[in-house]
Amino acid sequence: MTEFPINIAKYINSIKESDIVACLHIDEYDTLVSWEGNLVYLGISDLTINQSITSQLGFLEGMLPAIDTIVLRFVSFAEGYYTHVHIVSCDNNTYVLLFDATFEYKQQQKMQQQINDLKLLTLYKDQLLRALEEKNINIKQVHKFKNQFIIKKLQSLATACKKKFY
Amino acid sequence: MAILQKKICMIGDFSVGKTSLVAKFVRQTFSDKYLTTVGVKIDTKLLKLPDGNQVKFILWDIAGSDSLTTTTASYLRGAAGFLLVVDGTRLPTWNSALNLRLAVEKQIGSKPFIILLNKADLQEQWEMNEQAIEEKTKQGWKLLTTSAKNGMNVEQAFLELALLMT
Repeated sequence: MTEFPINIAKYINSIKESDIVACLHIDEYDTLVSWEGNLVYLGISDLTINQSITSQLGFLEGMLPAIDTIVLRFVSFAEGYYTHVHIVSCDNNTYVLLFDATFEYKQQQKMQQQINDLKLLTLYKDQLLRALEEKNINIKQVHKFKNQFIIKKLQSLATACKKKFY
Repeated sequence: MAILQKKICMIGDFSVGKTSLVAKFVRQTFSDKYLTTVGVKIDTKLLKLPDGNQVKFILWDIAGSDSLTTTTASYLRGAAGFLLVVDGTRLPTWNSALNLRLAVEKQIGSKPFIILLNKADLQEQWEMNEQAIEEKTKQGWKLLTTSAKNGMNVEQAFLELALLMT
């Protein structure tokens, strides 16, 4: 595949993604017609032409044929490599366009990690406060029983003393 | 004999242990460090069924959220089933799972699923409502208590989902 069909070229130009890493051309029977690009960079080993694409690239299972354009953001096939996958239909064929998203991922991940960590900390703080509140209630209850016990004991002691001395 | 290929989605709120469950199932590894997932991580695993047949799981570990966004909805296309993961130590993640199930069903129709009550190794922090669990079990839902840390029911969860789908 040396040239994209005009519609696919237009599509690539119309989107604001970073560099395209690889492109797959798949026919209406899910057979890989051609591919080009650096798939190894994304953790995908070499593909075989004229064979079913879903048996080679499991992630396309259930995705084909694409009637509308499907955009899958931040897809990772291998640790440390991330891609935006665009599955575009054109004249009964499907083009799978893979754009590098590794740099964008790292920024997004850092931000999301901080948000989630903060949410977890807030939740744990709430759990601790609830536990503390329960403990306080228990302590108050114990104090109440203790005081009642002391009063009872003092009263019985006083009664015993009265009997003895009067 | 041709190996069946099935797309499975891991769904649930953030930090419930979806990535850890996949890591345990696929690579037999576990890390206590929480690293939030952005987008989706795709893994594959060949599973042998009790009847001797094999099924290839294409595992889509989707970024955690309490609701389904347009981005996450696009990952669900073609899924044959899903695992709904709950953090047993965080009650709000149970409600998220219930909401997510409805959203997923709206998106891809009724598909086999199992609810995983994860982090069973943290029993002293367990927050699950036994009555709510019993109610869902009575409705015919499949629930499993799992631990990605010690491996409890991890293989079983995927196997049972495979059996529900075949």
